[in-house]
Amino acid sequence: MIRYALLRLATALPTLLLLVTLSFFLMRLAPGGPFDGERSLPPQIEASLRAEFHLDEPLPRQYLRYLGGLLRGDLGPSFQYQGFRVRELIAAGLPVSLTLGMCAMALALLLGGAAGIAASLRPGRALDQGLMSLAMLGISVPSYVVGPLLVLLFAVLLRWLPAGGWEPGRWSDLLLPVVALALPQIAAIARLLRGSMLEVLRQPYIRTARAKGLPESRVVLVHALKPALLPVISYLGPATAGLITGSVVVEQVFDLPGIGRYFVQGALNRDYTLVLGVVLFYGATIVLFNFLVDLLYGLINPRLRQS
Amino acid sequence: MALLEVDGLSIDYPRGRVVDGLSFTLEAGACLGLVGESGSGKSQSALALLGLLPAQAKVQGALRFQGRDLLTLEESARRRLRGSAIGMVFQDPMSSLNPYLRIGSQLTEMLVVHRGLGRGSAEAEALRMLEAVRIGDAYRRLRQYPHEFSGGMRQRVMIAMMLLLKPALLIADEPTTALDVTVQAEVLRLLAELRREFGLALLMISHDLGVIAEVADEVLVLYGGRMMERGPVPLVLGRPQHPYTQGLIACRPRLDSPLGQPLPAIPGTVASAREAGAGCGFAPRCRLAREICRQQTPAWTPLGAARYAACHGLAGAPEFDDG
Repeated sequence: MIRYALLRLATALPTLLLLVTLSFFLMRLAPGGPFDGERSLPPQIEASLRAEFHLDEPLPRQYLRYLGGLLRGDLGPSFQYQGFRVRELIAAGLPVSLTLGMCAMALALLLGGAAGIAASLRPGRALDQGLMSLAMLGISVPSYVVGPLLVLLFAVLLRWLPAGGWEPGRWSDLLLPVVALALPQIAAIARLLRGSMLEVLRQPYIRTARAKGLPESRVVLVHALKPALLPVISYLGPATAGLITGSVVVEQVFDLPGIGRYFVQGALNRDYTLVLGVVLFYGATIVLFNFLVDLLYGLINPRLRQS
Repeated sequence: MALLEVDGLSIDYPRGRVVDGLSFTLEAGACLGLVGESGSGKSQSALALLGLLPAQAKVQGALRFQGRDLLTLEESARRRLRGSAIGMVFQDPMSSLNPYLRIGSQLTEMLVVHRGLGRGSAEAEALRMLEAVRIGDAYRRLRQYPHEFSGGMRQRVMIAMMLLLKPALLIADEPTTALDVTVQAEVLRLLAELRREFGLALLMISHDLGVIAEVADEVLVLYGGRMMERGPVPLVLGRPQHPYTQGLIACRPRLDSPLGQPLPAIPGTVASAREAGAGCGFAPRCRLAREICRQQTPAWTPLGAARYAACHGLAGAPEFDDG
């Protein structure tokens, strides 16, 4: 088990290296540079800035320099936020993004799970059709549409919740962004779980459970739910990726000081190191979650545990 | 009072009728064999007894178990009978146990749900029962998952599970069909022993006359959802009266049959889900079929002590009795 875990983590390194390499060169293909503004800087100042950040060196050397920094755990300086290291910016945004992401994940599992189970119990009936239409809507409407709509309804018209902003410890700030971020995942999990529940409920061992005289609640929640959760668990890896890309948009819409906002601003400003740092962080998060999902999968599926 | 009285059981699906007028009684501690090809309605009847048919199935007739009519019973009361008074063992032990739950919890939950036992005492009971079905090293086995058991052992676990609450009736639906021949014999012997030990009535469903001959006292032959013949096992298998039963017996593969000859078979395919009425169900495949067989349903005719058959060709059967 431990050997498997180490092996899995070791294979993640080439993935991350590929990610960094592609991002590094792709970003340089984009027109513009970190010091192009509306008002162009005097040539000498720009030259000295470029020299300070080693942007005057040939690209391969810059690439190697960046990799060297990574080996020492250094993500480099930010071009835009002068005087800040990228590591510091990510550390500053992390609590916000993590809270947002975890809350959204919890909400998605809870609501999506409940909706999926409820829909699967009477397939084709009104409840099932209603829930699945909602889920279809949730999957189709992107968060940059849902976010502003939520703001319009709950902040502008009803004035129940703030339209944006972030005050540590103020939970009302979190509510709308979490809902906006979780909606597509709630919908995806509901549809996925409904499908796998329907599949499992047809299995002979469910008939056995009923023949044993178990209450229907136990048949569904113990005998059917455990196997039906397996596809949902494998979906949690991609769901993490979805939450990360979603958070980039949602943090922007609700003006939250998380990592996603640094990412957007870094990309707009051609803040190469900041963007690379965030991409690498996102990549590592997704790899880590896929790894945890694999471990969890093995824990639930006894047939995988021995091998 | 018989333990189980089935009176005129019919099961209809939107696509047609699968069981038509099934009637039999089963005394406490007795063993009745239900025989027929696939599609004859054996398993459907068993599931009807437990109340586990899908919602679109319409069940008619009367099912009296210990004097109570199962069909008018409330669902919650019926659920409490399942597993505790009526147990059922299914054909495929590979897929009938939940692969994601430990054997121990699948056994003990019966006692926890029905009897309200605590974990410890439930586990002690489960251990005893696993030993009764001769599973060695039972304590360690309780912590294992179904895939760690062989097919025969899984079926024994299944039997142990269904006997935990000492039901009065055990329905075994092709319990040995998915098993190797040697394991088959073991499981049948076990069932016979447990039946004596627990005073259990057994409803044995099989397409295999050999299995029926080994365990059952009485046999009921079904075809296309209807009763063809019934009687004590030695009589029905020794001197079958119905052409279908005769065909089934003739079709048993024998070790001493000449090599190179095709195995005997009843020509045609099983007519299932047919409309009620309109002649004998077996007529299209019967070598003795006459005109009347296609027009009138043959009556259920007594042929001596506890012996019945439904056929127009029976010697001395009344020719124009519409049962």
